[in-house]
Amino acid sequence: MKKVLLLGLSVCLIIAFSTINGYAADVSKGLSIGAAGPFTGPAAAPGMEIFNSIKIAVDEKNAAGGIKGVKVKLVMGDDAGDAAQGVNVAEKFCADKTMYGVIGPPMSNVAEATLRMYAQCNLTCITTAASRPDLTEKGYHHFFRVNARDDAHGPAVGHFIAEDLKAKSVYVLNTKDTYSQGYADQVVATLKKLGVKKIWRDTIVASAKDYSSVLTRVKAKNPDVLVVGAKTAPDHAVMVRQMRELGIKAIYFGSEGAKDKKDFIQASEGAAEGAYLNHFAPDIYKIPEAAHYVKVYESKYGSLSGFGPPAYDATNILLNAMEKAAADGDITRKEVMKYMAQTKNYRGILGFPITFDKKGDLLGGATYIFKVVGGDFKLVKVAKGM
Amino acid sequence: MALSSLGQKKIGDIPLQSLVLILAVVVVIPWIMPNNYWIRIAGNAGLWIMLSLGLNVVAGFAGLLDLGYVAFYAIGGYTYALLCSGHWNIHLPFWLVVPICALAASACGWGLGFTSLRVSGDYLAIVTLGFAEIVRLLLLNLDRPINITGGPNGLPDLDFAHIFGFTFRTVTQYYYLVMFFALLVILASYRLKRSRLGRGWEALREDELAADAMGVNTTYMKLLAFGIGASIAGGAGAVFASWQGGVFPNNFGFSQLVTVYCMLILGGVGNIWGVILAAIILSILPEALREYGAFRMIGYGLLLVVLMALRPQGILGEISLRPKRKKKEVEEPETLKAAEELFYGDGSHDFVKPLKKGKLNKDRVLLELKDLTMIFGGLHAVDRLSLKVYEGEILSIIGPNGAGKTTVFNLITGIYPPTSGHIIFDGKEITGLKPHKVVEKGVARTFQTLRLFTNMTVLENAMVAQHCRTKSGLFSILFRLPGFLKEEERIERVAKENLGLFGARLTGFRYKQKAINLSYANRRRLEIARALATDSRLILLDEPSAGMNPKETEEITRFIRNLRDKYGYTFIIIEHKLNVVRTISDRVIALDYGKKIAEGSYDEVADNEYVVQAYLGRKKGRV
Repeated sequence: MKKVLLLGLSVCLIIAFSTINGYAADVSKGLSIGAAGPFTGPAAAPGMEIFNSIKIAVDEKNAAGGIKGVKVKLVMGDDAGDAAQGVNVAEKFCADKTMYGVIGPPMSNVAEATLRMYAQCNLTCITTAASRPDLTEKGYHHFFRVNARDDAHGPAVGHFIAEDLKAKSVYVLNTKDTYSQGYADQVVATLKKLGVKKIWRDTIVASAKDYSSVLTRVKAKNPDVLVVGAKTAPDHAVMVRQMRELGIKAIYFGSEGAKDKKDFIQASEGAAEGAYLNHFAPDIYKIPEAAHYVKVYESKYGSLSGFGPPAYDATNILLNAMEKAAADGDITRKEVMKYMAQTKNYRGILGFPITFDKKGDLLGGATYIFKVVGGDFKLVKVAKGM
Repeated sequence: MALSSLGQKKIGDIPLQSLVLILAVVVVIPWIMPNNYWIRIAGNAGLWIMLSLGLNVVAGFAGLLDLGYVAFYAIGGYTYALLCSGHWNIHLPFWLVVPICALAASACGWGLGFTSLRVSGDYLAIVTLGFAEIVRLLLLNLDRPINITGGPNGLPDLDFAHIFGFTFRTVTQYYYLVMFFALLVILASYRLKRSRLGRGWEALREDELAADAMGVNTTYMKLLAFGIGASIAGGAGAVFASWQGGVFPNNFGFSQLVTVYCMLILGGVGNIWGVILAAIILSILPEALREYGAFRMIGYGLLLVVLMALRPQGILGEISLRPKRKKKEVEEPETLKAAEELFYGDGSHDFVKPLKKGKLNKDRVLLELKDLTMIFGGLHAVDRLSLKVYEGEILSIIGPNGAGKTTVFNLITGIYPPTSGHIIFDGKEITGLKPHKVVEKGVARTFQTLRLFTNMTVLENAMVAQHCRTKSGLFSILFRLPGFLKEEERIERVAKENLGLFGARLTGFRYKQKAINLSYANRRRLEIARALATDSRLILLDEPSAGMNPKETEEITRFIRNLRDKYGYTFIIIEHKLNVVRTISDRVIALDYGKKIAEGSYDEVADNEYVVQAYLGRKKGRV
């Protein structure tokens, strides 16, 4: 009896949710998309690059007449990288009846905290940087990503270090955050699998101005390669500089965050020369399709570090899905979700076709490995299907 | 009428009208908010109210600069996460887990308080900041070798709050849950503030030494403040974790601490309604600006600066919830006339019992010092001093500056433990007892440099003195048990009676006046009243007439003698005005370089060769 009651109650609740949140509305009532992310606080630099890129895509769409003649409104939802604030943003976006999709959140912990809420209100999310694997492993249908997962890059980097760099001893450092920790875990696991015997690990504090104590320990071990998982370019710059100052000969291998010409290569004042790093996107400057975007971005906002292009593409994918959903003059959040999942071989500016698998992950994403040569990034390897 | 009579009965509790008003607002909010988002913001405001009121106990009431506060919030949140999630597959019921979280945080609070007892001010801030950092690093790093906190990933997918078969799921439901706890915290802080504990904390904040000397166990009170503040933060953390459905290390960072402190400072430190208002403003404001990116924090900061510049005492500053009745700031001529004559009291007091004839035993030794010595480095401040004070006696201690008079007082009242020697009060050894213990035995003092609790009212100053004579604990205060109410009534009566000894100078509208606004002479009087209100038998007065004009001096002299004659107090007085000493003293002791150089009646001591030498120097030709 009790079970029946409970079942009945939950069915009622589900129906209640779907009716409350299944906003079906005339397109002319307004269309908006949300940008959730850290637009203030320590991660504001990549955050704003994402936001500006979203804005470019939305402006272009509106300049071309919008969706069914309706201009798309972009709403900023700043979470400062704090999950507690991210929850507020999610609540705000869910409550906005003209909102049909969200770009972000780009930080894994915020994405994690808001996953359930966005799912409850059927709001499509497409993240451009949150790479924690289990985000897409929980069976939700509203969450998509155009970036590869941590467990995609880690193995690729491990293989590159063991096979291409032929390292015999590796020292792995990472800052204590979701992304860097997962990255380091994967690199270490792959290296072990490939038979690298000498592996050491340590953690470091993000945004410290001095890493010499941990680097002294690194020096004592004299590894062939030093792998550093850290989210922001200045951390990498400080690390590589102090490493050379201490006379450590190891090859420097940085994670995604290092791909920033100004804050990594230039800030290290030459120390970064010869360093390697991985990124989920190829060199944006070498892709012909991206030329227009790069020109617009740089003329408006200055140099690009690499977080912008995926956001530009993600926005266009979302807008496409919305356009399809709105084709009959009526649009619902569920429709948007449905058309998002159908995205296939979308060719944007990232240099590879975008298709989502059942979980919402990027199908066949690649890892691009760069080397710093002559003060610029040079693509040295494309690792696919790891 | 019924309402007001009820309010009358519950002295010091939240006025029923306000309570009803608040409840109505809380209930109505979800109905008038446009959507779930704003209900969530309102619920968040409730969480911040809890947090800032918890900090208000530690930093506001007790004045302890605790920068580790947010760590207790984290401890509460993570405790909830461990006990209510699939992480270890423990799913305890919500009503059980919240108290557990509060207790866990409270235990850590006591621990932190205990280790940092010896430091105060800036040093306390550093120690507590260190504690917060330790907690933060533990949360970040306890994911290996065994995964406890989930490291940087935090702990997601926590249980919904589940109470007796009802599961809180929607925003509105959670809003009510949070508000329920917030109201509890508001009620608790209101009751705490108006209790012996609240007054004890405020005394501690105003002047730790004076609080100790008036019978407040400062060590215990500090620990209690840490413990209560931490338990509120812990409870708030649990509710927060349940609502967010996960905990992440950066939920509990330095920025949250800064926000809580902003609320506290903006609201006016210690001012409950102000802090609540500030918590509401500062939690809603950033939301209103959320769409403006970088301008959000600029606007927020700017507003904070403007508000602080306009109202440095906090937004509510001196404004109380109810409008103040116009009060007479100037004494009426008649009252002034009456005050010029000494008010002796009419003998109808219960607690300051007038002396029955023949009860005073003038041969009984009340206080005895035996070979009392105090050495500071190489300086013998007090050197083998022995003296006896008889019951009902007025003993004056004179001597040039630096003779060690005040040090003797500090030794008797336990502020310094003596290097050697004994202090015996009423036949019992009190050597080395802490000041608040000495007061409990029945020895109270005033200070040469006034040490009133300047930001407390006249009445509160006197009420603090009853701290060591009352026992109400946390439980009876929070639930307002009959014992507590009876005690409160008694405290107020004793305080008013002792202030009443000074007539209009310290009564009437002065009850509600802050000590800082009193005239110098009145402050001296208040110090004496405060010492009397401790129910002590031996009163040590350190220069009671300093800074008074001749008329006031005469008044205070007669007053002291009257206290002895009518009420049987025993006095030791340090005094420089020799005409006071002459009129008042039964016996006089002269000190020089910590040694007793003369003892006897005033005339004997005044004519003593050594005393003359000590004051005026040696005569020529004599060695």
